[in-house]
Amino acid sequence: MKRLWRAIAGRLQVRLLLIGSLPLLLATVLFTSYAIFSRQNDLLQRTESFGVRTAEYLANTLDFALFAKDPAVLASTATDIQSVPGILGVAFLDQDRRVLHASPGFPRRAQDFDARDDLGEQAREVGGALLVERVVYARDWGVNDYVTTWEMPRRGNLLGWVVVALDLEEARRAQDTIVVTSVGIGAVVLGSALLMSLVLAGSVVAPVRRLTDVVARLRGGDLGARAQATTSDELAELAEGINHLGETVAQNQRELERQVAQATWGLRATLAELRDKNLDLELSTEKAEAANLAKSDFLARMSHELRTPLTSIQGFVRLLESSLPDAAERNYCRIIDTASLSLMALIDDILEFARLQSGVQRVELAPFDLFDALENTVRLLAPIAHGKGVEVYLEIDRELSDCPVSDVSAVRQIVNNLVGNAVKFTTVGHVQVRCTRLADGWLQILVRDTGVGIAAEQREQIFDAFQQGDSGIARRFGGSGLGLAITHQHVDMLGGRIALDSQLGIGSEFRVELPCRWQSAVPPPAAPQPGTAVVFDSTQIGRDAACALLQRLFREVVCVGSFDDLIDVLASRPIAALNVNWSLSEPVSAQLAVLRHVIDELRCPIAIQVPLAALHEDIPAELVRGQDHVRWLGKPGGLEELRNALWPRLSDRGVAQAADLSGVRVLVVEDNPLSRLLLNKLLARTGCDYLEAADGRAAIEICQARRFDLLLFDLHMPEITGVEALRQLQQPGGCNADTPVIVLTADQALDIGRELSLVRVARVLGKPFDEQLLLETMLTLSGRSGMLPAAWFGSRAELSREAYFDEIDRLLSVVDSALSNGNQDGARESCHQLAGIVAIFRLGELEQLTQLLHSLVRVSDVGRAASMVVQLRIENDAQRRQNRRQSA
Amino acid sequence: MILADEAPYYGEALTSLRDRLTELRPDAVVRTHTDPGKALAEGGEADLLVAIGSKALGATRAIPAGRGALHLFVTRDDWLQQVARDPGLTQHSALVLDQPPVHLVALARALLPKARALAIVLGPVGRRHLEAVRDEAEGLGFEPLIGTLDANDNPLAVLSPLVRVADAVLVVPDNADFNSAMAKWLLQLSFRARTPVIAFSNAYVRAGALASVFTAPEDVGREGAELIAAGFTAGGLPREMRLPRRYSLAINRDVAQALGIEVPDEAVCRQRIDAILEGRP
Repeated sequence: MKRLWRAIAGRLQVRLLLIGSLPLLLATVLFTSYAIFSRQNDLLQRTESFGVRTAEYLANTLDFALFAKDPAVLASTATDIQSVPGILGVAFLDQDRRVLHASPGFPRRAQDFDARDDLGEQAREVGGALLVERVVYARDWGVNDYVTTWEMPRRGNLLGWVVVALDLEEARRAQDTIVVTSVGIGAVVLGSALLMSLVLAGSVVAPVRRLTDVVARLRGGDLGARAQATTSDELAELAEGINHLGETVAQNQRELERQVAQATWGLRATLAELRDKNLDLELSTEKAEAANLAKSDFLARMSHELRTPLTSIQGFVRLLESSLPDAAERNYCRIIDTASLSLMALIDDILEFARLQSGVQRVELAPFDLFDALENTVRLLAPIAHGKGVEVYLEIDRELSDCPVSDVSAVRQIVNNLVGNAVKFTTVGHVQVRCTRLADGWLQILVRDTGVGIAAEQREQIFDAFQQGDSGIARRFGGSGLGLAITHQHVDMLGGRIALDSQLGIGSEFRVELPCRWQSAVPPPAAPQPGTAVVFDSTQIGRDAACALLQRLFREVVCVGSFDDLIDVLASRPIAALNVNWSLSEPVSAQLAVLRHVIDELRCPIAIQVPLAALHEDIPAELVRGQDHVRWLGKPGGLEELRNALWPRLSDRGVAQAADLSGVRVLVVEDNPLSRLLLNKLLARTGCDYLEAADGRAAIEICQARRFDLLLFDLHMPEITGVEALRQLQQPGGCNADTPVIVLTADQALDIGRELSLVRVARVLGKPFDEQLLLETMLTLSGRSGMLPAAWFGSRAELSREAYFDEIDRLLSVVDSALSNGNQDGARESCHQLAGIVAIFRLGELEQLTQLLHSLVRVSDVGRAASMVVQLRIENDAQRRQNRRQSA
Repeated sequence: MILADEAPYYGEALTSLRDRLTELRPDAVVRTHTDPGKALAEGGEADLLVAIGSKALGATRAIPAGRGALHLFVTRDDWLQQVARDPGLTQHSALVLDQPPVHLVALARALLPKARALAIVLGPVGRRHLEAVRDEAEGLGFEPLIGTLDANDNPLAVLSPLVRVADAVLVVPDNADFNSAMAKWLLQLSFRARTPVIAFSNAYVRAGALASVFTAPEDVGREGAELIAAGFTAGGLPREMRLPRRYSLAINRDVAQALGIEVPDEAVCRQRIDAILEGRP
């Protein structure tokens, strides 16, 4: 409608017509309305006036007849009056408004009149008639010649009323006639005026329209269009102007076309040239990208190809060394081992430097677990340091709880190189790594050592490639001199800064500061447990580092440096946990005495951090095995390891009654057969009613048919992952939507927490599962309680050790194959399973190496991971042989 | 002379009185006042005070007893009411406007010599003259049919039967309101019944009566002057109310024609009346 109105009103002729006709229309309507109103009003007034005159006439003339109530006179008068056009009838009322006589045409019944119905001087419309009435008085006649008294003239007596009924219908008909006539005249006048306006508007618009057509043609590109001047008025001047404009535009266009043609020719030439150059550029880019890819591929392959044989050499040399009876031959083996290690380090540095130089390295920012990144990196290098009698400490600021957002791979490289450097150049004392968050949000990592130090004049070149303190250092400590250059490049790549403080002969401090954002950990870290934990470490640095860790686990931490102090503390208060750190500098016998004492005397959880070498060489096997409240951890121990080792268990709280899980319906979802077997044996001892599913799909099918009281879920499974299966099971309406879920995983990566936030999980437990922790959790979630019976423990002893070693071999083969094929996901998956299996029997070095492999695979360090696979195979074989010997 | 107000008929009466008095007593000096208080103050030396009109009558009540006064232009009813209210007026003389009933009866006989039944309509005031009127009618050969009316009576109920049977209707003057209220019905009924009405005023004749005898202003002036002159001569005016001797005559010839009555001219008629009056016992 709006568009139609715009189209109509937009036309000039219509607008002219509207301009001319609207006022006329308005005036016609106004005058016609006024005429109708005034004529109708006149008609009504005339009608009423006629009625009034008639009534007054009758009142003045019929007073005698009314007084005499003479029916004959009244009837004849009424008949006469009724014959008058416009009068329906007449009625005569007496003094009491009773009807004396009413003519047949009178529209009102006799009983309708009463004293309250006095019309007075007003006319009234009743039933299509207009009633007018007048009072009839008996007027006196002046028959006295003189006024001889002072009395006022007496008014005549009321005799009655005369009521005249006027025909309103006729008046209305007359009114209608007036309306029709007036409207008709108005319509004729208006139509004539409109017709004239239309004709006049057409005569004005026609030449304008011709000009408009010409303008439209000009606008459409017809520059030859010209207007014809048919008149000599303003329109003719306008036509002449348009013609002139058209001519000018045509000339300008011709000129422009000529210029455009010239410019187009030039542009085409330029475009052709650009296209050629673009093609060249694209070719160059493709070549560069191909070269980059080739370089990256080459580096990856070289890393794998160079490390694999070297790792084999190392492994077999160590095997050879352990099997040779001759001391000289064993010494030769150690020399080969040391040389291969140096060669391995050199290859690693060169390949890393080459990767950085080639530009294939990309910064990938993501939130990561600071403990996971630093602990694993430091613990990789700890055995080397411990071998030299150098302690390694890691201390993460107690206040740090958020996750930094940065490139975790680069951070690991930086820490690895700086700590590696520190370990390399320190022969006595310690290497300390401290991590904190600066006030401006930057991440600061300090690596201090008590090594040889760096002279002031050499510090400026220390970050250059192939530079070392002096030529003597290279000879003395070996190395490529690339470590710090690589570190510097990583720091630059992350936009950070690195600084060095060093004193020759005293030690060095490298300070790395990296810009990064921070993100809350998901899920948030668990709150510290109530109770007091005690740290026993002979060094202040060690006590500080351990204290910072334990403060995250317990509300109160007491640090002691001597055995006497430890005895005092133990005697003074009950303690919830004890952490003992093996010292490289203290006598072995004294430390063993302390350990025997606390292991025998204390029943609280005890964590003992020991260098791996010392675990094998210095500590008797009977001390390591058979004590459930003692956990032996590689030094330096990690946060998660300490948590698993030291947090209190239900059995420690003195629950007297025996626990009972009989009848509890449990579904075990685990893809690894060995893990599944282990769980099977554990649950069989508890008497619960359990079923097994080998993957997520089978779990979903089983859960659709049966309801369970508990679900034990592995996360990493083929086809449908644990998280996806749980998501489907927990859909509303499912019969196991509310069943409590215990997740068992060896994966402690940060993104596991994020994935688990998608489903409802009651508890997450690490693999290999702690029997006691798992059983206590099951008890709690199934709503039961009591002391765990001793018969429930010892399921691991039922497992075949041969099957255990076979499964480790199988999984190592899968990992190696996945690494060779570049299948990172497959390698991670198998590594995850391996971590869960290896830890079943807590075979120290095998477990440590598996954790390292897990970490390397997670950060896609293919070269080192392949080396670790070889080392694990060797270690697995060694353990298998040892087991056979013991069994024999 | 004390005039009640400046109504024209008072002036006419005064003029007539002055003219006639001058004829009878050229020595008489006439002074005229329209303010009664001033007239009494200045009239201390006058031999006679003459009050013209009812208003002037009220103002001259304060005239001391023993001093003569003549009242003109009052009706008999007014005079009798004032005398009843103020007995001092009995010491004054009055010439009233009302014609004696015999003048009316004589007129009826003069115009309608063959008429027998004469309806006489009497109001609440005129009723007191019932006997005199009836006697006068019977004396002139009429059979009087008396109709008396009160203010609340339905005039048609009283008048209709009288008018239908009477040969003529005679209206005796009553108080002014009654006269006016009754005239309408009487004239219409008599017109319908084609019965002539003999009335007591000129206005009645103009309204539709056949004829009347009435006291015109000149009659008042002339008869008043004659009374004064006689009084001067006799040493004082008789202290009484007198009915006029003089009269004027009015005849509505249109009505007479409508009723089919032959009416002689006025002089003949006056002769007949005078003859009748003189022939009475």
